[in-house]
Amino acid sequence: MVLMNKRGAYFFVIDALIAASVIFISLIIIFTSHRMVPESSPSLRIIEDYMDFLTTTKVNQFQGGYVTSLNITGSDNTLLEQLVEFYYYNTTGNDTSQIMWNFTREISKGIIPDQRGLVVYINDRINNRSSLIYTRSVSPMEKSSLVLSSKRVIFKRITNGANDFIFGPVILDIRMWV
Amino acid sequence: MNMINDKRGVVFTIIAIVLAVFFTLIFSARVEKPLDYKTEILETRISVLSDYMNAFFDYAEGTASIAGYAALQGVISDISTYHRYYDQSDEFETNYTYCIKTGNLTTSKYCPNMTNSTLTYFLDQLRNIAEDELNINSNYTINHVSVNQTTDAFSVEVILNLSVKVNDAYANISDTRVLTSSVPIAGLLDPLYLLNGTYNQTINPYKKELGNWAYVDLQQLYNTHAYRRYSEGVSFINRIKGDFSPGDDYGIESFVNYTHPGVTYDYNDTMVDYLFWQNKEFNCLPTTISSEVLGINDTANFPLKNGVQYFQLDRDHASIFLSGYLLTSPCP
Repeated sequence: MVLMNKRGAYFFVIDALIAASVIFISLIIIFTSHRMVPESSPSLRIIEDYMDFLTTTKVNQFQGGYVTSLNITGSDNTLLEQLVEFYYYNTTGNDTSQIMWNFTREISKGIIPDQRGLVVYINDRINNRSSLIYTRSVSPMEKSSLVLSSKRVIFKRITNGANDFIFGPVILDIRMWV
Repeated sequence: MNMINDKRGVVFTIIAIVLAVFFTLIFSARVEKPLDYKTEILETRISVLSDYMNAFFDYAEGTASIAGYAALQGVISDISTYHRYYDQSDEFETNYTYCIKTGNLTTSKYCPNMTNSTLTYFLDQLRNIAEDELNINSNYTINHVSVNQTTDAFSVEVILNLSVKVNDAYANISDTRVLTSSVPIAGLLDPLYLLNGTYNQTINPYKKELGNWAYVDLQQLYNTHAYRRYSEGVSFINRIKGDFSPGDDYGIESFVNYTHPGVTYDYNDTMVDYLFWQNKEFNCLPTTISSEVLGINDTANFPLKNGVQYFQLDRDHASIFLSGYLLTSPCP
């Protein structure tokens, strides 16, 4: 009789453990699958965060070696304003395409993951120009199943003595793909 | 007894399964892409709209400064054409702000120099680009434009009350802001020289704004035809209005190029621009102690005109820049 009671006790304990396991595993599955639902959003976030980074970070706050080596006088410019200023110089006959390429490469390094392709255009609709500023890719954009794009309208006040003017507005077009 | 225990075990297991199913149903209901499954994308889009709206206001602030400068050129051109100062009521303020908005001084009078430079032109350009490239519709209303000078002697402020409505398929945002744009006056023709003078001069701010003034400053002011801030001088807006009463907080002054062939003067004149061009006369007496007007006895820096006439200053200005040993009475 004592043996039977012991067996019964073991049975209840094991049964309770099985029940607890069922509940626990169910909860794990539910919460794990819940977290996985917005899986597509990080890419979107990356590109928008990158755009915010460009519009809020000033040149003098960015410590990249190439940017620092340029000795930019308007260090109070944001990175985006500085890129537009380089672009403006390019339209006036000074070839700054290599500077823009290196500048963009450095300010995207570490922020846009290396596994993702990136291309940056500036579209100047007023003058019907579209310029490729920078590109890098692991695989061709055309073959990607997910290409994200973010556009921002930008302009830059060009100080030219008494003849200050606003360059732009132009469109910065950033595309990222996996 | 064994049967009873077995049944209890089964009951516990069933309760566990029921609880598991219950929790699954409760939580899967949240997972089933409910109301917020597109929230991230919508947030991003609304953020784009919001950024565009901020950019619109920034652009308006920047272009108001550009349009404001072009409109000042237009006003000065109008003054030159009709050879008259604007009246001392609000003619300048009314015409100038209307010129910024529309490119006209009045409903019947064209504002020169405003082709592709009005505020409306700039804002329309941005609106069209946003519509074509970003699929964002935006409309704006310029509620009010005013002009003032309250911070700097070498710039005026254009105050813009602007409402912007931005919308697309997802959201509709609107905002009204008051923007203040600084319009520099450097490089503009001085209306005083334009109407009262015998030659023209553009406004060129002196590098030093305030502080102790020395003889070297006078030399540089004169040689570079620069303007300095002087609270007893005449502000740029008052120069447009022909109001030369002293005591303007944002007054400026320059010194007349007395060696210029077109400039003639006598022993009672001072070379301070608003006093000279108004023909303000000072008593010239033979002694430096009593004379109201003094000559600078430094022919290396201020050569004699026609071999006899000094560079002359009224006593107040002479005392600002000079110590006594360089001064002399200009009277014959």
